[in-house]
Amino acid sequence: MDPVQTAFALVLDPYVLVVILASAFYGLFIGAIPGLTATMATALLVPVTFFMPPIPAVAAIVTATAMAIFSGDIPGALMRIPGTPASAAYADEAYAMTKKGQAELVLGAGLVFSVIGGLIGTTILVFAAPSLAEVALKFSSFEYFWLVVLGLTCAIFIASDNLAKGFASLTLGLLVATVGMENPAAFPRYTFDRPELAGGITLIPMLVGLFAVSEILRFAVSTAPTLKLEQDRFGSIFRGQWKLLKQYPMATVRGSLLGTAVGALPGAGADIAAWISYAVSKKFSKTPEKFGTGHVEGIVESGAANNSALSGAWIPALVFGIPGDSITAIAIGVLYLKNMNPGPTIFMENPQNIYAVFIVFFIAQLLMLPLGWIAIKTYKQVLEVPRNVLMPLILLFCTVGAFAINNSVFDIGVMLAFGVLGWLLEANRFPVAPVILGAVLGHMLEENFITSMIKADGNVWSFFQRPIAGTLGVLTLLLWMVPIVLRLSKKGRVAHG
Amino acid sequence: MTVRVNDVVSGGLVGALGVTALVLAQGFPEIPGEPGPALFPRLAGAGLLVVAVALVLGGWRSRNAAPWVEWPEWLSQPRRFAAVVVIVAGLAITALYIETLGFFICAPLLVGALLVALSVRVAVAIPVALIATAVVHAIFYSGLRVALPWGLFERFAW
Repeated sequence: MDPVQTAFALVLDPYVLVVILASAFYGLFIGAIPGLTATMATALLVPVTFFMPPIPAVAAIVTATAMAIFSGDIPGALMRIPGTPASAAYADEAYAMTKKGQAELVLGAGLVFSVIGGLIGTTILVFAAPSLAEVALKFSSFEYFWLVVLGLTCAIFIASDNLAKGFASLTLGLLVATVGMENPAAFPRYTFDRPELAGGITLIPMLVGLFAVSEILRFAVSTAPTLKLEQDRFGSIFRGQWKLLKQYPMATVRGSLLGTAVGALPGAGADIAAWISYAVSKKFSKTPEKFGTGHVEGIVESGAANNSALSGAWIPALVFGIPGDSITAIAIGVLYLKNMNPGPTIFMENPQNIYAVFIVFFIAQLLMLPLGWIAIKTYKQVLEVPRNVLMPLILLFCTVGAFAINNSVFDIGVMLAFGVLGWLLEANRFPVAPVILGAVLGHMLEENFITSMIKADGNVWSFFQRPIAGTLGVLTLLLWMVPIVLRLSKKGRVAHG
Repeated sequence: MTVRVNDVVSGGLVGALGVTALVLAQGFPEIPGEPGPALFPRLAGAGLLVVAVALVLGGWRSRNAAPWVEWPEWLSQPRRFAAVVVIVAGLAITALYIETLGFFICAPLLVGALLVALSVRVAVAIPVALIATAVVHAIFYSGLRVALPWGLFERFAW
């Protein structure tokens, strides 16, 4: 049977379809509740997907995250509180529209343009990933080394307004990655003679801590006002959407393309894609003065961008094993657990698995239309789930999830430690995404560096002698120059001015 | 919000971590002719030291803009403070004692205590904690075959 047919058979299995449907509702729910993020949804899914075959496991993550990023728009529009950080860029604008009596239009736009953005992003993923994989097949450790360095560089530059803090987070992640015996020399580093640390710090408990326990801690001390809906009954949310699409075709396409690209850059995910897209939309708008007063244009563009970013993030994740955002960082961990190691060879050896993932992406986007409609219609009921009851239940789920990966109580401690760490980092404006990227990519960085050094017999110039490696290397070094040049030019301006 | 510190303080902490990493990496072996297992830990340690210096310098320049340490207001609010203690201590106790006490003791205590700390009425908290424990146990132990510890209830194990 040809791989595409096999892929359809894999996805259309009733078990997989049930998983997709269940994760869709789960994702919509998590995204719609302020304080629970798409990344948290993914982290909480991992312990359950741990026990599934690879395709439903990945399907659960893909579906839940797509839904969560959309449903984060709902509380933004109705309460001015973004459900996930990805909706923060336009929550004010959406709320202003609701105030003007346009709740249906803005909620519908959030839904419809999320779906369009997701479909465009997925289409790019489907075409870009396999062709990139063909190029990547020729990559040696030199190219991979530079790719990782370039990815980590992007992570610091994009994820933080403060370079020093971004770098600190990243280095912390890299240090975490050095723990254990998984290094080329198989020497136990920083294990303190604890057998639990010999395999390194387990990724999943660490992620659950950073993304879920930290949120619970934040909720516990928050002075969040009681959630009150501006409007809880809605007419047709689809009315007027076709007109919007005809009115803003460029914005839709631009948002989707930009979102995919930003998503593909390591360290930047849906939230950053939405912020950039919103700014771009305002810049190119014929009526920039309307932005901020309840104008739908920016929501069309950035709503498409944040959903397309999700698909974009999977491009480097599947092809190189380099995550494009925190969600794919977790997904890569799941792929490894499932022996579906990302990398170009997966496109040759197991194409049916990759095609199945693509099909899931499309199903998830299309499913979003009816389920998103239900989510909007029932939002009042969703909000009636009290968060102070929900949080303790999530904490229990986290604890069992962290334990389940290795059946180890040590991992509950790891989860706690990283939960507190994530909480402190966030409050002091250290970005969390680079910690994850450092921890996920540390091994890859070291392994490819050591392999290259041995191949090159210690000659550093070999890192620049292959054409692609050389280009990537020079590009990385140039990027490093940017902040220095910026700083010098700023000083120059100050001196002259 | 949690503790907020001036970057001089956070830089100091980052630097301390860097020094610790470097000191511990002293004992890592060298491999003649190629980079050994000490290289990356040392790079990470050195990187942390460099960035610590940058943070301290930046923080020193803006030292008048923010206090050295900004204690969060929840420290003086018993309920919020209790919630944080329940989460941190609850997880620590669970990690340390769940094997001896068992899931059926640790889980309802953790959930119940946090519910109460988050202002849920005791009459609601107790049944919710018990039901949650039973449901999670059914999913993970019976369904997914996770070896959740029985502890004191070992002889009732199924």
